[in-house]
Amino acid sequence: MKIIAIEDESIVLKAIEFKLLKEGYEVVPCADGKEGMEKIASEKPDLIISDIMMPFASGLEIISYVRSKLGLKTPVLILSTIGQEEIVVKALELGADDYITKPFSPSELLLRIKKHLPG
Amino acid sequence: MQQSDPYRFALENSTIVVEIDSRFVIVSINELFCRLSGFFPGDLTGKSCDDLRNASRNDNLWNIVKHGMMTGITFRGEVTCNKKNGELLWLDINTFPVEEDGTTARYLVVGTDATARVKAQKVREQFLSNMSHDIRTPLFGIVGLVNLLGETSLNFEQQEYTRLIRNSTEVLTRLVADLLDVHKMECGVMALEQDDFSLHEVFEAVAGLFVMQSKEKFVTIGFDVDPQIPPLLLGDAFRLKQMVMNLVANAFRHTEYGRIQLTATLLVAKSDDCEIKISVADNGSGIPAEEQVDLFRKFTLPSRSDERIKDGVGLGFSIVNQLVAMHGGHISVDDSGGIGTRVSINIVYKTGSARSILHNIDEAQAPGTMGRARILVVDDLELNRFILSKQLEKLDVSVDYARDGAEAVNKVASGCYELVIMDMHMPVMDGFEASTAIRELSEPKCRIPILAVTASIIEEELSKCILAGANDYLIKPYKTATLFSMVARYLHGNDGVNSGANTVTDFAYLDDYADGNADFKIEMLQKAIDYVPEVARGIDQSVASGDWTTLRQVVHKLVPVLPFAGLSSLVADAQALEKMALELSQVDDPSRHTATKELATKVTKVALAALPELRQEYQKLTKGLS
Repeated sequence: MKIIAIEDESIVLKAIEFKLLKEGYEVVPCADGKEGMEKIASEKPDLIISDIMMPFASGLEIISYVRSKLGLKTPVLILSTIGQEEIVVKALELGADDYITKPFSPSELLLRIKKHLPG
Repeated sequence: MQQSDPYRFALENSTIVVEIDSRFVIVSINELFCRLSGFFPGDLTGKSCDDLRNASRNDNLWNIVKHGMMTGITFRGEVTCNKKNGELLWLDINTFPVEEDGTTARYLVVGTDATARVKAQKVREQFLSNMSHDIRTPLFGIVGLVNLLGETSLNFEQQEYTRLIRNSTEVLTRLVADLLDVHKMECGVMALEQDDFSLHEVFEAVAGLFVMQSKEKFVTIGFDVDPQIPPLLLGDAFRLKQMVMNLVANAFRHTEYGRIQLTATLLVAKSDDCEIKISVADNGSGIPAEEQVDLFRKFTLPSRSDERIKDGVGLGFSIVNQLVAMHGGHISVDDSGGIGTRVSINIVYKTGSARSILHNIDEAQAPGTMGRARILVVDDLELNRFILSKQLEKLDVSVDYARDGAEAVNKVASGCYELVIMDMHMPVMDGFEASTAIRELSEPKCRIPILAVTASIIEEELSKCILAGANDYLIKPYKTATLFSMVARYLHGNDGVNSGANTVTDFAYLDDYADGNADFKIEMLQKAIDYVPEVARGIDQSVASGDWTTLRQVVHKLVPVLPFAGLSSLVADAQALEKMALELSQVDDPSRHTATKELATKVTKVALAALPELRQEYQKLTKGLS
């Protein structure tokens, strides 16, 4: 299973990558929205986790890119924080499948991912 | 026309001749002079230079002739004199004394009409001056707008284009500034300042300007100042920077990878002045001898086609040349054909006095006294030690010194200090090694707070300071107020001087997350050690400038990181701060500034207090592995 993780804060990105690798997933870490979009198109992931506030392209842009431009049904999980509730609703409207609030517990991260992975 | 004497004919039609006797009375003027000036011979012969002098112009023909006769100096150059109708006439003249019986009996002034040339030059100068101004006005408009544009939300491509526009405008701005400088020097209106300056700081500043280029080209840039050179010189530091900067820029043009070295050597030392040789050496492609002649002319570039010229502003060397001349110095090029170039300038500077440096120490208010805390100042340069001691004087602390890292480690090990302020670049043992060595001393000496002082603004270098063991860093040039707040933070906060138990941090989340993987923990701690001072600075700066949008962004990014840095306890405060910043960025309500600032201070204070514990945990884990 291949997961693309898009997060511009390198500590959080590293932590997600570490946890997912340990769980046996293949991980493609991306440090900003633009890289994220490029990798989504080229890597054909099984699931996408993306931050919302990022340089070059926001999480919302990524969702519309996946759903409208590429027409993919790939599950998209949004990383949000307290205070971003309105944007989370917007993300869900645009077609995001779920959201994880940072800081997250490692088990919550894994459970939410498992829930949305096919098979 | 009769041409019985062709030499005389040629002379009469091209050269003015005026004959003056020893009492400064005009004996004769030739026909050409009459034609040019509109005077008849009878108007001037028998008149004294004194009657014709023009006190308002010091380049007046009659002033110069009389001055020359009185002092016995022959003159050669451009002068003016008033025509009969009052207009100005420019002449290029030579004066010759004519001796009779061993004394100067008469003076002969011969010359040519220079009016057309001078007028053309004036037009050119006026044009240059106007053009520079006319270009600068819209150019500043472009620069300002590009900077504003860069702050808007742009996609990647647009950011890249914006960056390229900015690069080009920078080159253009510099070219226009150079043009103006050349113009000023040609008109003789550029004056040199006379202020105390430190050669070391000039080099440091110039090296700092080339940080980006040196990263792009794999060229390292180093500098070395002869310790015998007085720490303070009297002169124009700005113009010296300009000279060195142009030489370094040229060295970069010739060097794709390798090293550029700035060196200052003391040549001659006298009681109140000294001759200094400043060299810029590179190991680049070198400049062939036939092109060295061109080097100092305006608007020339090496003609070779293989030359990769990125910012070929051809005025640089010409400016250096003229500036060196203004300093009464000289410039030389030593090129060893293909294996590098060394360009040297020799200049005599007067020795400076410390008075003005002290004057420059800004009048920062001391944040209360520090109760005679003992501070160890570590710097190899006497001047820097001196300035720091003068600044720290206001805090009522006791200051001791070390000249290099090794001495500092010994002093910390054997003495009793509460804070170390350490320059990072020193001989024998640098600040990085010394900081690491201090952290390896026995308890409680190893916990002394260390404040790194560096001129670098490269992020890797800054985090290198922290990783080496420093608690924080001061970037030169810093304001006295910044120094004071840092000293106060580390003395009052007792940062790093606590007992063995962690008081701020709790690594339960990280332990749980890492699930026994020490490498992951080490990596997270290392990142957190880099991240915490950076984010604290970001919060401080955005709060100080009232930039709530940036504050919100910085804190927003901080929140999820906190648990990995052992700071889960700070999450709630940080979330509250983010909310306050967000609300202020939407509606700026000044009545809520104080509360926001207080909370921001609390967050940075706790985060910085965690640093020594993070470092300790990091060291514990890395030692456990090795």
